[in-house]
Amino acid sequence: MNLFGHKRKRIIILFFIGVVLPSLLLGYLAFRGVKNDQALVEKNRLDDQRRNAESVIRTVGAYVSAVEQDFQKTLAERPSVSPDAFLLSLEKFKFKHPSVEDVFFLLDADKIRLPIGNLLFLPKDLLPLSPADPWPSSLAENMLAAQRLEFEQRNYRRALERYQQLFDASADPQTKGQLLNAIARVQNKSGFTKQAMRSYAAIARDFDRVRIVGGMPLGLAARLELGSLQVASNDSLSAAKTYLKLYKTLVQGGFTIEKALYENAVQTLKNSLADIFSKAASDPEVQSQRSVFLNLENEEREKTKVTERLFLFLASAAPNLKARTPEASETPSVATTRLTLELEKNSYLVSLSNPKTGRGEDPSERWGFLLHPAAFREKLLRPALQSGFPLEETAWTVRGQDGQILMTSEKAPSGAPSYRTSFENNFPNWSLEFYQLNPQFLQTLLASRQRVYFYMFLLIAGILGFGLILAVRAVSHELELAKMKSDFVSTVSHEFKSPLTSIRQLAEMLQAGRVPSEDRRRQYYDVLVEQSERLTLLIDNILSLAKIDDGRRIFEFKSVEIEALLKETITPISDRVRHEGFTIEMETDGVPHVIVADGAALSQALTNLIDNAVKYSGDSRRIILRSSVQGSNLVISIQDFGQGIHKDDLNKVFDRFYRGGPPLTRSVKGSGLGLTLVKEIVDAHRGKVHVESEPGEGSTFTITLPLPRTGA
Amino acid sequence: MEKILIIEDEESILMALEDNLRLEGYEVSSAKDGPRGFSLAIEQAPDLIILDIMLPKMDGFEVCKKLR
Repeated sequence: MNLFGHKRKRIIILFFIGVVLPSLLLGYLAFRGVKNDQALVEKNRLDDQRRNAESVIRTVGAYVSAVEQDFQKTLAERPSVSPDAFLLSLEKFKFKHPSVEDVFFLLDADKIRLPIGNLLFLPKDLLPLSPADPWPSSLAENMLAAQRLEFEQRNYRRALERYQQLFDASADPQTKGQLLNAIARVQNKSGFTKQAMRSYAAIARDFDRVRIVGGMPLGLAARLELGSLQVASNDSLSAAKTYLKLYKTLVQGGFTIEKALYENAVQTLKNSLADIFSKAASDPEVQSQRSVFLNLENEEREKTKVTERLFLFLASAAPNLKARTPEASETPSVATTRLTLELEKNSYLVSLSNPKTGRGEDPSERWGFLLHPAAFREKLLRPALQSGFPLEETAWTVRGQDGQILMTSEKAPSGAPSYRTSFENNFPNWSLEFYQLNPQFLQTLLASRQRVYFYMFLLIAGILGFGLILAVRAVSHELELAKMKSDFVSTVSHEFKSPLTSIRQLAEMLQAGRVPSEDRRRQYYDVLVEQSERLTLLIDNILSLAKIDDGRRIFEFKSVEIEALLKETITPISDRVRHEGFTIEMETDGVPHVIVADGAALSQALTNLIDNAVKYSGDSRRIILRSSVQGSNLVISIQDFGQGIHKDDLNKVFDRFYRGGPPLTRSVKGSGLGLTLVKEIVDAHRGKVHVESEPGEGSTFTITLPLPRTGA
Repeated sequence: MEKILIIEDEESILMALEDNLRLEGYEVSSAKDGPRGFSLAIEQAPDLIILDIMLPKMDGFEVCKKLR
């Protein structure tokens, strides 16, 4: 039987048309929608980036402007002191603005001044003048004589006397310092070490800043000598202290000296200290100085960096600044010029106040300050960028002039920058790059306006889920049908075999005359008739149903008088079951009702119902057949008082092949087709069939058929 | 005389079998469902049991298993 193949195909096709296709379409639309939104989000973000970048640049510019205004104010309140003195007083301004690296003034085209106290060493041309001639001319002759005694005749005693006389006679500290130095030298040569050390100590105390030819401060030279003498006399502790004190003075910028001189001095004292520390390894007091040394060394390292940077600026920035700042007359309204200087891979952020004319100032005197690039970047730019750009949306990079990365956001940028900009006036000369961190699909999905796409996806999921349930139900229904079918085959073959077996057996017995009694013979004939009818009913049912399924069953509707039909139908059944004690009661209203029906089919349906009633009557022997008119319907019901139908089975009894209970132990025989056929036939008559039942009390099957309209 | 027990729910078949076997001279008893057939089998200890498979309440396989 090919009853189900086409149904399955229909289910699959319907599933595709009704569920899968709309889902795919909706899914595609939603996906496109989300993508569109994503693009929109990206566009909005680009606008945001542009706006935010502008605001960051404005913030930075405003900060610099504020510093400049403060600087201008400070300049305007300048007391009448020398530029150098004023420069030193500007420390306060520096302290107020941590991003200001240093303050300087530009004296003329090629000279820059910084508060030099901060620097370890200076360019040569900024050093205080050292004497070209060591001795005043009045002393020259006497000095020459003393030196001849010292160096040529090596008469140290007389040389010492001579130097001593000159020292006592002179008043000028420059001369006195140098003479004391000569005295100390001769004392040393004469072997008066202790006296020499005392003399050097006196120089360090009294003539510290006196310079000899070449710019070497006497204090520096004297301390180095003192240290070496202390080493020679095995006084390691004093030597270490002397050197460390000198080191400290150097690191604090105590001597304004040239770079080569500074480096030389530091190298010498470092070597000496290293020797002392290694020689006096067992002396705990000497070793305790080592930490002092290490601290100083660290401090020196830091200060050297700063000094190198500013040294470079001092040495080479002036012509650059001069070339790049406008003349006062060109831009009279602009108070400051900002520019970024690049000198040997060092960046300098310079703000230079423009010379003011007509205020009685020296027009060549221009003041400016340096902003520290690192401080500018970390203290100013980074916070501005961080607060200006949400972390999860935008990554950024700050690149230097040569494209090197100076700073990036916490979230690493990737891909191509979506927006690139630079600072006003190229100050600083860095570029800012912004990268969009791609909005995630899911994020966009949830962020979309009114979440319409989210609901769309929910709907799709719902449809798919619903479709899945339908499909699963269809499949399980198919499986159930398959099981019923196999059940059906075994039941039906049994249903065929049982009557045939008994017919054949009884017929053979009759043929052979093996009949116990005359009564029995009549019984045999009854059974033969009954079993034949049972077979007929079964075959009729199967054939009718097959025809209905295939659409070959054509109902022939005619006017049928219902009471006659009922009588016609029940008579053969009554005859058949009478010997089992059944009584079929018929209750009608006595009015002959005519309906339009296929009499044979209707009779078949009723026969099935009555047959069922007989089969399921159990010990009860009473069946009532009722026929009445209710409204415009004819209602026929068949009631039995048998075992009834379990509630769970009530809506399944009309299903094809359905039979209650386990197949082997059913007490009632049947094919599972009877009620299905009844329903098909009643449906064909546009009627309805339903069942009411109470287990143990019997069932009532009711057929409702429409009456033809009177007068129509 | 040998005793035969028929357990069969189909009345027409049961009737024919019973009559046939009685005519052959056996002592025949019958039951129409599983449990009753089982109790009769215990009670009468027949020499032969003719057992249908499809039986109300308890099927033939089960009756057979229990009897064994």
